[in-house]
Amino acid sequence: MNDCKIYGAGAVSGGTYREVSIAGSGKIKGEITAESFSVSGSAKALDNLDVKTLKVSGSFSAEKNVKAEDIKIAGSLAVKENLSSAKAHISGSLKVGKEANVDDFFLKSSNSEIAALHGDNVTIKREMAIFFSKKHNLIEEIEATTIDIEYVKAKRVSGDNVTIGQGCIIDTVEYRDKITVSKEAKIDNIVKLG
Amino acid sequence: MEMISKKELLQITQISYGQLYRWKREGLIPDEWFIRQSVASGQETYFYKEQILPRIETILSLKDRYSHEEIKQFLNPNAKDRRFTISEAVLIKGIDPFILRIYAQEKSDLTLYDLVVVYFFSNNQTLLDINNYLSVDFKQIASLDQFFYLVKDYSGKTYLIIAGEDAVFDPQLTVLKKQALSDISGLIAQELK
Repeated sequence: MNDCKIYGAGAVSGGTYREVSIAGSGKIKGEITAESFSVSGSAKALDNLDVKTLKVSGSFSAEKNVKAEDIKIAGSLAVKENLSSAKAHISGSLKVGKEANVDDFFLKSSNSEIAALHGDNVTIKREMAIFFSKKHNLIEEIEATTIDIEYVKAKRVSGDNVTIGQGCIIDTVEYRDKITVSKEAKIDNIVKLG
Repeated sequence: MEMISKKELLQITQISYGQLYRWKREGLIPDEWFIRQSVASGQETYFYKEQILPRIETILSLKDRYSHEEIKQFLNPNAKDRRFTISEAVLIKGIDPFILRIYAQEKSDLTLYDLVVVYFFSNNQTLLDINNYLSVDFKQIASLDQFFYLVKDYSGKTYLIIAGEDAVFDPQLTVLKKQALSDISGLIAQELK
């Protein structure tokens, strides 16, 4: 399998690669399958991306779906449709237009926007760099086994073990086993699931 | 078809959100089975009961013995590479050795689809005679997403029809039984190993 490397500015056509790395700025014009995909700088994918590892320092946006096993982002990742991965560690910002389905999800951010976040372990912490900021991560719905979140504005959060930390504003929290709520969180309804 | 909400599903099956979403991500439960509907409190996900419950039961019964990738091979319509020998097939409970012998006459090994067909014929012998179907090329079933329909016509004769989930039949035909191929492949998987 081929490698594809862009230094400076360039475009990649779709295909199957072992490694795709972009340092500078790149555009991916077709569907990509690869073992590893890394961006330092900025890149945009016009089609689906199916990779084992996705590493971004800088910014990466995908017009369609992103499927991975392991995601590490320092900077920003924007996915128009669905994002799925076994693991994701993101510090910066994440935007997902439809569903983010990630088993182990860690996000450090204060300006992320996700339509639906689903998984096993979900952790969201505020990005400390922005002092005095009242910004929130906007997530319509979170459903996961274990949830531990800060500074999230959500309609519904549902899980087995749920920890709602400071700065959260949530319409409804559902929990099955255990719930912990910070004094600095605002929740309209808390429902115990059967 | 009766529907079940995601919350009810988790309660009945005792699985976690994490398990449900991992199985979805890994393709053990198709994305299309998650049906979003608007309810008073926003959006809620529903499933067809007869589709999701057997699937979860199958996954739960296989998960300790097989990897997710292997389970996917039994459930996923595109995974059909595995071959079975006649002596392997004959050990599967629910497969009648006589039906197997008739069906496998000129075959040296069998695909998962073959086993599913033999299994179905084995379990519906009073209604279906395999000898009437020997000229049928079941290889044409390229997908475990299909369903077996056992139908009866006005004269009382029974037929096997393989069709998609939402097949609509002539009103003169009565559907006696409907079974997903993937349910049978799941049962077969439980018998192997």
